Order: sequence, then structure tokens, then C-alpha cells
Amino acid sequence: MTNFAAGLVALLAAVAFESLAQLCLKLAATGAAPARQPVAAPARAWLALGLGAYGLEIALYTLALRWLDVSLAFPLSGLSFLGVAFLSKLLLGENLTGARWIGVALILTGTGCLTLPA
Amino acid sequence: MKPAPGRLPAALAAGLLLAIVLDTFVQLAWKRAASDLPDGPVALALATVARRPLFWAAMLAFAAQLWNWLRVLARADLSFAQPITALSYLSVLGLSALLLHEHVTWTRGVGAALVLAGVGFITRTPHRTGGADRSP
Repeated sequence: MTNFAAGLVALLAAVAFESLAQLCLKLAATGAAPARQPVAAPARAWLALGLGAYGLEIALYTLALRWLDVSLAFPLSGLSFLGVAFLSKLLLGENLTGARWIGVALILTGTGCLTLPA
Repeated sequence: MKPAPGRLPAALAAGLLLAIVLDTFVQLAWKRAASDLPDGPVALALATVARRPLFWAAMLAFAAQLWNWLRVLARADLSFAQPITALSYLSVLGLSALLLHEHVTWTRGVGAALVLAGVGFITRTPHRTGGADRSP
């Protein structure tokens, strides 16, 4: 595996943990159970889970930055916007309007442009 | 009362701005700390990073970011707040060129404009799906 490929693998794993961490932190921040809280748990448990996911993301992202430019790695981490949008809709019951989906799509397209090679 | 679209409470706007600033600092400090690592086992690389002051500065900023982010999420939908932090792409792009001498192409300029437009769409939606503001 080349250094570039290893960097991409580490980065995509970091993206998955970023999406999971965001979901847990939202559940920790709101305290009480949201409309569709996936699993009933106290806020501190969600915070601990979120921090654990962030810890794994830190390790993976640090490895990714070892092989990738920050101006490439950082925009690619934007894939977490899509993951978070789906998790927010499915698990938190948030109202994702058409404008919000368009915004996410534009951001994803923009991050795609940001990662194009010179 | 249903939150009005396009009208951000001042505390939420300040929290989002702080999140972007801290995010930018963390990204750049992290990159600096993780650069020029010795070849060899992954554990050696991580141990080397952990001995660098800039890494711990990034971690301190990360902790501040976490505290700030929990306050933001208490005030807004996750699917509203998180995409807005994409604005840090613009600041990282600019500062990477200035401080790390990374190349900025015209396609990255277009990308930055699209990100800005996307954030514009997001901010036109209500910042909260419903229910009471749980901000501390």
C-alpha cells in the first residue's frame, strides 16, 4: 500500500468516527432524550462515547496527516457532513429541509473541488 | 415558538464563529506537529508527536472546541451547526498557503465559493427543529 493510499484509509476511518462522535455529542448536549434517541442513556454516557470516538479520530487523523497535505485531508474529512446529515435525520428526527440538503450537497461539491489535484 | 429562519441568536452566532476559529487553529497546529515524523512503527510516530508542544497546544484548543461545541449543539440542530463549520475550509485553505506554503489552485477557489454558497443555504433554514432551547 502506498503512503497516499494508507493516508486515505486512515482518513476515511477518521471520518466515520467523526460522524459517530458528533451524534454522541449532540445527545450529550441536549441532555434529555430527543424524539428518536436511538438508545436511552444519560448525557455523561453519550459524552464518554463521543470522546472515545474523537480519541480514535485523533489517532487516525494524525496518521493521515503524516502522508497527506492538510489542504487535501481537511476537505476530504467533509464527507462527515453527509454522514451527520443522515444520522441527524434518521436517529435524531431533525427536520432536514430541501435547502439544508442543497447546502450539504454544495458543501460536498465544494470539498470535492478543494481536493482536485493541481 | 418556531425559530425564525435566517435569524441566528447572538450566542449561537458567537459559538459558531469561535468553533471556526478554533477548528482552523487545530488543523494547522496538528499538521505542523504531525509533519516530518520518523519512518518506522506507527507507535513510534505517535510517541514522537506526543512529545511536541504544538501537538499539546492543538489538544488544548481541541478541548476548548469541545466545550464550545457542546454549547452550540444545545442551541441548534446538529445538521444545522455542523455544516456551518465548513467555513473553516476557507480559513485553512488561505492560511495553509500563507504559513505552510501549500499550493492553491483555481479549482480550490471554486470549491471555496461552493462551500460558501452551501453554508448560505444552511443558514437560511431554521436553526432548531423544535422544542425548548436547552442552552446552559
